Amino acid sequence: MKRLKRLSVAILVIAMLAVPSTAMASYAFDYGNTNGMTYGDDCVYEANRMWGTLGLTYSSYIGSTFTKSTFLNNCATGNGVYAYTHGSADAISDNSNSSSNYIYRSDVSSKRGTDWKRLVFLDACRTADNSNWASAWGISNGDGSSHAFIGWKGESQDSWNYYVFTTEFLYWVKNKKTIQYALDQARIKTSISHYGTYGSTSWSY
Amino acid sequence: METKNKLYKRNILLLIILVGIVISSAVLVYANEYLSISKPSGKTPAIKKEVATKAAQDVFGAMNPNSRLTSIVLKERLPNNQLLWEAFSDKDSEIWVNANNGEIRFLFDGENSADRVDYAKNKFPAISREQALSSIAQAAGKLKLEVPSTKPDNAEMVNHSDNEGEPYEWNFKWAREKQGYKYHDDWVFISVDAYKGQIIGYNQNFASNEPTSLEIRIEKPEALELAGRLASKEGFSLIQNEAELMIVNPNYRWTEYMTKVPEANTRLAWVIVFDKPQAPFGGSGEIWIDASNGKMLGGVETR
Repeated sequence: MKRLKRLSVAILVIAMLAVPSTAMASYAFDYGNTNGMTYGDDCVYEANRMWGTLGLTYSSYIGSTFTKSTFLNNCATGNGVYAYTHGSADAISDNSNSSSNYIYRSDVSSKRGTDWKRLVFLDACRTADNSNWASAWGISNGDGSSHAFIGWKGESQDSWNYYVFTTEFLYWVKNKKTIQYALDQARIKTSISHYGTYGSTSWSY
Repeated sequence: METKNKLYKRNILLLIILVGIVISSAVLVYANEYLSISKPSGKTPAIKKEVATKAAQDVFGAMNPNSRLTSIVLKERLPNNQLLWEAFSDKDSEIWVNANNGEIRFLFDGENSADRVDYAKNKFPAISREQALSSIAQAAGKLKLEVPSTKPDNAEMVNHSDNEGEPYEWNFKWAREKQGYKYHDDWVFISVDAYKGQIIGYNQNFASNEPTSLEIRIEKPEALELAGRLASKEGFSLIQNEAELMIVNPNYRWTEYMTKVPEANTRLAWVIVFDKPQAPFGGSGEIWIDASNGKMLGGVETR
């Protein structure tokens, strides 16, 4: 009988480890636009895997669950953000792609308040054209904190090669390499080099 | 005795439920596995593990004599299920050996990736494009890399941040070619630090199959007209007369046959550029029209 109890406890522990953490107070948020986008769900899946392996709890919003209100409500908590969507130097879209639901960096800045973010990857066009998006998340060059903002200088594509870039980057971060190492690997694997970073890239999880 | 039996049955029931949870969780995890760029392969490669291991170890040794290979795994990598021996070293470096012909397909030098930060901090002077290319040519022999002898299609010295002391790198890219036509997505890419010219990475991304024909039956005006129909349907604006013949991997974007993983079998196509006017997320893209039969082969668009 004792043996059976021990076995039950062991299986319970294994089960708890196997179930992905998606509920509870979240420490990372992933968003994937699938409205006219091909790889939003795949990239979010890879981001989920990264947070999970790193031991962070996470919540992910793919397709219609990626709304402006959800995004902004989550801004003040958690220390990791990944979003695959349309973007500009001032705004990103939620899954509706509707102008009434554009998410502006000023919205993010005010909703975030003073919450500290460790890693933010806005995987959308022009989000690293300048430092404005990074600042909205409280990340700036030389701020002395081990955190990073990643975005794109100019346009990024909804294409296989950009999907590989994101997957490679997330894979190496997941494997506890520095942000710079992960970006270098992604660049060599894809030949894509127009990403931009703010904050520090010399740290790892 | 009866109580003991009840307890025993309850525990058995609990055990069954828990096993069910574990199995369903595992199924859930695997069911959610969308795209997997690479996976371990059980195929029998032309290049045996011992041969690939020696090739990879030799190159790791050329990168750093104290470097030691720590793992090597046969993998299939998308697109085109490329069969590769993927090796890692104790210096955070990576090498892929083509399992069909033994050539070095990919190299990443983890030490050089990190060292360039120090060069930048110590204000080393930046090298010129010619110096960077000369440095690549010198290293290629000992690292067994196939570097194109032609002028690169793209050469740029970049960094990725406005941070003071942020290191620069030189990136060079050569498109794969067949009879003067460039492949859209097959290329050689080499990245070196912009101070000493040490190779950070090399990638000979020739994943596609060669096109079976380079026949041109559709001329540029007709291709533009065919692309224009799709463009007006999707709300895109073609850039006047912007069309170039390239070898593409069809993905059938904007059709019900769209594939996430591009096809390995390539086609010669008219690559026609368009603008996406929707503010503030305006962008651009390409429509690919088969040069032989006018079929729409897909394309790309920005986010």
